[in-house]
Formats: sequence, C-alpha cells, structure tokens
Amino acid sequence: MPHLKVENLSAHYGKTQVLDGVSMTAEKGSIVTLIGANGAGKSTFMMCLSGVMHPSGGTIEFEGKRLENAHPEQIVSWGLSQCPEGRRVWPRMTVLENLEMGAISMQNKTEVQERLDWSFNMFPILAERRRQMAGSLSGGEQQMLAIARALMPGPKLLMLDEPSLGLAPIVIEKVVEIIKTVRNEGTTVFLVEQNAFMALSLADYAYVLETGKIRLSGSAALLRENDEVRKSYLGI
Amino acid sequence: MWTVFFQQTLNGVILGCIYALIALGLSLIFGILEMANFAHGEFYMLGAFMALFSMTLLNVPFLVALVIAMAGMALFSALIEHFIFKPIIGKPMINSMLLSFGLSTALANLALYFFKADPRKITSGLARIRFNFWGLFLTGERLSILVLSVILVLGLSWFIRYTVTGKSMRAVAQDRTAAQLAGINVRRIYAVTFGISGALAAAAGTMVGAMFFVSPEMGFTVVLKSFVIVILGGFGEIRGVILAAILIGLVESLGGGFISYAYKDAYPFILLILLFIFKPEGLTGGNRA
Ligand SMILES: Nc1ncnc2c1ncn2[C@@H]1O[C@H](COP(=O)(O)OP(=O)(O)OP(=O)(O)O)[C@@H](O)[C@H]1O
Ligand SMILES: [Mg+2]
Repeated sequence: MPHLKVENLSAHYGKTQVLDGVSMTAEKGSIVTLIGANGAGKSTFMMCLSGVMHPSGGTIEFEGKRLENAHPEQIVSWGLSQCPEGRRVWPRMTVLENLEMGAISMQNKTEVQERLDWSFNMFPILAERRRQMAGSLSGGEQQMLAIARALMPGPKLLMLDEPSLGLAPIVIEKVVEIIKTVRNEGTTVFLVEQNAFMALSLADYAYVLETGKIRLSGSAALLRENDEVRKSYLGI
Repeated sequence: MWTVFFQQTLNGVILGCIYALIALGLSLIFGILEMANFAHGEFYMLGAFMALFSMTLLNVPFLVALVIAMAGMALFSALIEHFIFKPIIGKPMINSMLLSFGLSTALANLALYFFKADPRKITSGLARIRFNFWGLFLTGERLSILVLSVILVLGLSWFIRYTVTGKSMRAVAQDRTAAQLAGINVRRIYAVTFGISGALAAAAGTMVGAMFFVSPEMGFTVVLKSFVIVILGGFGEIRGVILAAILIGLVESLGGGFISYAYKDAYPFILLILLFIFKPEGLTGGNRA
C-alpha cells in the first residue's frame, strides 16, 4: 500500500476549477516531485493535502487515514508536514519561537527538546541566531528556518513547496543535502519545484501538472529523457 | 492650580489604564481575526451589569463580582464568536463591521429593555477609604482600580509573550496559513481571543461602573474611543495601544479639567484627526502585530 494516495482530486476557487481529477501516489521513504509551470495548481494541491484548503472532490489517503475532510492540525499530528511556498516564517517571533511553534502538535516535552537539538545540529546558523527575530534573517536563512520548522514535529511525510526559489546555488545545495538526509532517515518527501532540473535529479518518481491535470508521470530518470519535459521544463 | 493639574493627571492615568483594557481586547480581535468588533462596547456594558447584579443579587464583594463578570463575559464572547462571527472569518472587513454594528445595536437595545435606562452605580465599598498624598487625594476604590488594571495589562502582556497559547495567537496574527500548517488549532485561538477580549472588557466595565455609572448605552462612546486608541497605538501593537490609551485618558481628563468638561468625549477625536494629519503611520510607527 502506498504511503500517500490521492485519487481524482479536484479543487475550486469560487467557480474557477484549479485541480481537475489529479491522482498520484508516493511510496514510503521515496522522494516524489510535482513539477509544472506557474499557475498549474501545485500549491493548491499542497494546501489540499494539508487541509488548509478543502477539495471539491476526490480522496486523499495517508497511512490508511482519510485527509480530505480533516483539519490542518489533525493532519500535522498524523505526521504530514508542509514547508509552504514563500517561506512564511513568523517575522516578529524569534527563531526559537518559530521552531517551538513548529512543534506544537507534539505532547512530549523531552521529544521537543530532542527535535530542537536535531534542528540546531542540522542548521547551525539557526542555533547562532536563535534569539533573533525571524524577519531579520536573510532569505536563505529564512528558508532554512521554514524547513526546520516543518521538520520539528518529525513528520513521516514532508512536503516542500519550491524550497529553492530565489536562493543562491550554494544554498540550493544545502537544501538538496537536507532533503537527502531527511529521506535517509525514512521520511517520505514530496517536492514541488519550478527548478525541474534539481527536482528530477533528486526524485525517484515525478508528476507533471499542467493547468490542473496530470500530464505525464513516470520515474524521474525516465522523465528526464522525455522530449516534452526537456523542451518545456528543462529548457534543453 | 498645580494640585488640580496633578489630580487630573492621576485621574487621567487611571482612566487610561481602563481604556487600555478595552482597547487591547479590540486590538487582539483586530490583529488575530482581522475583524472590527463594534459590539465590543456592549461586552463592556454587559460585563458591568453582570458585576452589578452579582453584587446586588448575590451579595458578593466587589472583587468577586469582578471575577464573575470576567468569567461570564469570557464565556459569552467565545459563544458569540462561535455562533455569530465564525462564518465571516476571512471575509473582507466590511462584513464584520456591519455584523458587529448590528450586534451592538441589538445588545444595547436588549439591555435597555431588560435593565432600563436609569444609570446605576456599583458600590465597591472601597470609596470611603481615602488616601492623601501631598494634597492629592485618592480613594481606596481608585487605587484598587489602578492596581487591578495594571495587573491585568501586565498579565496579558506576559500571557501573549510567554505562554504557548499566547505565542499561537501571535503566530496566527502574523501568518494565519503558516499557523495552520504548523498544526496550531486556529479555530480554538479565535475563540480564546474573543474570550480574553470579553473578559478584559468586563473588567473595565466593572471598574467604570464603580467610578461612574452602569447604563445600557455606556458602551457606545467607549467603543469609538477604543478604535481611536487602536489606530493611535498602531494596530496590534500592545505597547503602542497601552501608551495611546494613557494618552487619551490624560487628554480627556486634563481637557475636562482645564478646557471644558462638556466636550471631554470630543478630545480623543480631535487628537485622532491631528494624528492623521501629522503622523499618519501611528504613534509608534509601524503596522505590527
Ligand atoms: N486564493 C486564490 N483565489 C483565487 N484563485 C487562486 C487563489 N490562489 C491561486 N489561485 C489560482 O489558482 C491557480 C493555481 O494556483 P497555484 O498557486 O496552485 O499554482 P502553482 O502551480 O503553485 O503556481 P506557482 O508555480 O506560481 O507557485 C492559478 O491560476 C491561480 O491564479
Ligand atoms: Mg505555487
């Protein structure tokens, strides 16, 4: 049974349909990517998985639990965590407060402390800046904080929405390294990217979304060789 | 002359502390739910009546009545959030303005129907104790009101700064979607915010009811003044709101003492208009939560 299974998902903003019958699966411990142009509906899809947006049709199943009518805080407590597009750290809270709030779904205080140590070990820059307001961090540091915050509850499935956007190559390398580490610890990673090159070289499996519909899917290695993908998303 | 000045300053500070309690609740709702709650003045009025009836019908002492009013209004406000405001959360501000204005009118008229218009007074029993400091006089009642409101304001600041719920409130105010994604129960935070706001309004209403009067229309001018304070203080900024509240209290008290008492309710608005002209970004600068 796949770790995450989405079937026939549709979503609307008012009367405008943004997702139209999207189906996908993710195996446990794999990296799955969703690529697509601006406005294809990638972020909308992520928000449906997190319960922030309610789909107008279809089902989402995660470890046998149905998510499509669940509340966001339930979904987080079941082990599905999202680092949203545009970082969205709380700017007038300290780095430490941002991380603590990321762990709000955890009951056990010692576990929270363990996760905090894990984060500071993984992101030494955040340890250094723990008392600083998140809004005063650089863009790259904010992205690290956003990822660290999403990892605080120790999710079973991590969703990343365009984590490389606007970052310098060296910071992108760091993001890639984190994704690999997290996966090696057994976490399933679901990655949304504009940077198709990075996504396809990292992922095991890939989906291409075009105006709300899955256009192509297959192993990432296969899609990298696909002519259409090369032309539209890799620019070769 | 100087005695009058200091006396009015002292009164102004006391009034300002009470205004701070009211305006902070309004500002919390504004920052966290992105709503303008014009019924806030009626929460204050109902809180005052709750304290009044606790004292006259249950014969409890002033402080117990204050606690009853705060608890009662916390519950009442959370219920109002749940049954009346919940459907319009996230909709444009005009929705909450119209809805709360309607609620305000309805609550004030219900109060008028049941409690009648004649003003009543909460007798705290502390007004007979008098202190005299270098010619300034202060009753035990005013002293306890000053101390109580300072404790409540500091307590609220502490709560928002250090508790998990307080941090969640700040997170929701700064980025609601990020808060949901982190696993904060946003619906619970909305109810808690309304509850706190109602409890603070009730405390303020009870104190004003002891210093002045309790009447069904007491909420009306207070809510407008509180909006002035929230605007002056910079939306959602706790320290700014407290400063603005004390400023308004002083302006009203000194203006009442030295210019004319008859226009005391107009001074805050004159100040607001001046501020819009000379310092449109607010007293403390930014638009911060
Ligand atoms: N809150 C909203 N209200 C109305 N329409 C929206 C809203 N959010 C997104 N849309 C529309 O839904 C469509 C899909 O948006 P979405 O943000 O999911 O795309 P995306 O694939 O994530 O794009 P990008 O790569 O630019 O992040 C777009 O046409 C967008 O204009
Ligand atoms: Mg997007």
